[in-house]
Amino acid sequence: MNGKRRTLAFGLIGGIALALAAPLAAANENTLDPNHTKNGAVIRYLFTDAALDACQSTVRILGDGDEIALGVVVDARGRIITKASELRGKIVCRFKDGRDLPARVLAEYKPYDLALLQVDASKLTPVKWSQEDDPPVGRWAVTPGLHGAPIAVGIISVPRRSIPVEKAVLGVSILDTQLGPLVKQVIEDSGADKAGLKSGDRIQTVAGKRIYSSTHLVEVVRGYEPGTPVKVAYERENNEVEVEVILGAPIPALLHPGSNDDQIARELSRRRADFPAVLQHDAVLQPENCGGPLIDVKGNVIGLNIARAGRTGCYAIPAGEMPGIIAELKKSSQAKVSAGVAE
Amino acid sequence: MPNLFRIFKPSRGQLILASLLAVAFYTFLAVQRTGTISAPFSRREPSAAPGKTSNRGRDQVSADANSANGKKLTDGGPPLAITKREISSPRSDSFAPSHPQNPEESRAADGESSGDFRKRDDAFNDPVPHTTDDLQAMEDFIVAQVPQALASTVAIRAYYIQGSGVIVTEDGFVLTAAHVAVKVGQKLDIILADKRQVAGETIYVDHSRDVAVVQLDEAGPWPASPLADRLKLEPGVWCLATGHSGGYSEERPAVVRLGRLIDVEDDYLESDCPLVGGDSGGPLFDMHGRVIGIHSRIGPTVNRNFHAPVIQYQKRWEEIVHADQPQPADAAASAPPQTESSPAPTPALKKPRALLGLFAEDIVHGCRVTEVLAHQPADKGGVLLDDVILKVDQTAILGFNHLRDLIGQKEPGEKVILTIQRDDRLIEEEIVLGSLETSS
Repeated sequence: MNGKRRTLAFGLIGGIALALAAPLAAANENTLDPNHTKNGAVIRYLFTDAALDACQSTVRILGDGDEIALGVVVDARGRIITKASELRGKIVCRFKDGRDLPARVLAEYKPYDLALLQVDASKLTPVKWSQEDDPPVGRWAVTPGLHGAPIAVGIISVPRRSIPVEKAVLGVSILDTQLGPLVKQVIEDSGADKAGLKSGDRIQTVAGKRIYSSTHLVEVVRGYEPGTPVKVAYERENNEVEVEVILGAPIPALLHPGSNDDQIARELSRRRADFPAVLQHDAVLQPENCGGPLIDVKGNVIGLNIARAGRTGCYAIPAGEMPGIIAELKKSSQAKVSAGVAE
Repeated sequence: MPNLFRIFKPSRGQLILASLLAVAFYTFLAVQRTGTISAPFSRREPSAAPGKTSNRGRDQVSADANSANGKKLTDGGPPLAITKREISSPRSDSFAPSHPQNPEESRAADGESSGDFRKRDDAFNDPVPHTTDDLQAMEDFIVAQVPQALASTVAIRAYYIQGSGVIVTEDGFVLTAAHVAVKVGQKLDIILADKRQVAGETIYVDHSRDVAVVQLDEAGPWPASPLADRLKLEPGVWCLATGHSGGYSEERPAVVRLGRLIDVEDDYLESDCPLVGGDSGGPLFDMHGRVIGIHSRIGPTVNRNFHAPVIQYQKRWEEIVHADQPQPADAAASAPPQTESSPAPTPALKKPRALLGLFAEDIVHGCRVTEVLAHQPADKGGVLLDDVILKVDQTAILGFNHLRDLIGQKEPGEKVILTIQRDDRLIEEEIVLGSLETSS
């Protein structure tokens, strides 16, 4: 009784405090309040109820303590699926109730870039995949987190289709000179950037092959898939340096002449192509928020977010594909166990 | 503060409840606030009902043009159907997806006070939707519009160009961005939603606003979406963006995105519909399936992008499309009506004008140097005959006039970087501009 009253009193104080803060935080009258944009706090908050069930089956995946993905509980005995290519370091699953449990990888399913994890837990709430047909374009497509308001809100943008393999790029533009190919510009956050290449470096070899020109470089690099590490040797100030560059995917064409390349290609998933079937939606998810469920306005789990594919969209594996994939994953994990591979 | 906590000792449950209440209260306040102060959706009835005269059946475009003169852009009624909404939008199965395709009908609903259509889009007219029912109602509305939006969205291609556009009349006028349509007379390939490929030609370009008109070579009827008429656009209006993100792909229809207008200015709209290269020239629709903008530029973040407002453009629509007779060549010749309302960014004549020192002819992806003036900046900077100039300071060149405009905006003595294609190589040359006044 007393406790209840306190709860109410505290709630009211909180409410009033925020109410006072609200007018201060409100945006310029001539532009839309940022809280009211499609992905603003207020709109996302409206989907809290819809996300309740899916939250129960969503886990946060940590790698060496960093948030690297979301995951979905697929059975009560501690099995979780997530995006395989984002996994690194010591894997821990964080649950809605706050538990952090170490996880091990049981199996991978390459076609969809999924991994099956095992944590030591029971009585988990497995996800219920929607039994309905694929949602039509225009349906709400919401990405729940572990708690409260969802992470992102969008709509289905493109119906089911397959995504072909992408050609890889290094992430540099090249000036051909008499002294060989010279790095003109390094695209920010590209593989080349992360490996430390700088404008002015002279490319010597890529993957052990001597590079003669920009066209030749493109030819060599295109032989690999994005995500592949290749050795790049370059000359800087008369020193030859060799680094490992993780190849990326090509950057889409610019929307308008004069826009900067680096506005676009940030924050995409490492693997974002070569999927047999995906739905595309227009939420802007960070790569570490892929791997979890995608729901509709009624809370049905309509898919699993598998990649932030570009500036404008994410891919989700349609729910209808999931039971088959999970069966495959479980089968190959059993095969491994019987072959004595796991543990 | 410690005292407060000693009294209440909030448990986790209490904290959660508190924050939920807070957010609910905040939402309530936000609704109140936007309803009264910033009034993005003021609830007044359209007072003068300007543009009400436009009622010419299916001839949407000429109706638009007729009502376009006058003050409608500033003192029109509220953005869409506005009414006092009920607490929760009742869902009605009598809603027909044909509504968004029938602007006359929706327009009729604008002025009057009832109608099932209106209830359905209530959630769009409030500053924020309120309930899951609202969200569901919005979704039904969006899903119903998608087929028409997609049918009128086209891909536009020519050599290196990969853009989008929207058919706005049944006889085949396509709106797109100027930087997609390039220049009057430009031949383009237009790919429709059903993968049909049709030839088209640019008949009007306004680079200052980044809008252009392309005419399809074949007679229609084509699947068209109407232009928005007498809308007072305001921040908060929900919108759908379509376009061929990243370029046309046979395996994928145009990509549909949802967003809201963030900012409405005379010469641009800003929305949070995510856009990317290839979307350029594609349409931004309101929730009645009417074209309100043309995708122009991406903004500083993924969720801030810019569109050319078509309302600006309606003023010229009649001149372009209904000029004497729709003979494309004539229209092109009489087209450049940039004079009346566009304060073109021509450099003032008084100040010294920058000089590059070359002549060039337009080719499809830039301009080819036909003459380099000896001892002038281009010559000194190493520009050669037959070089193809692709960019100036990273801005892609659409032709010699465009190059001249860009140089004209610079000061003598300023440095520019030209991106040049020479044979099969890309090179950059830094050039210090000279002065036209002192050169000869």
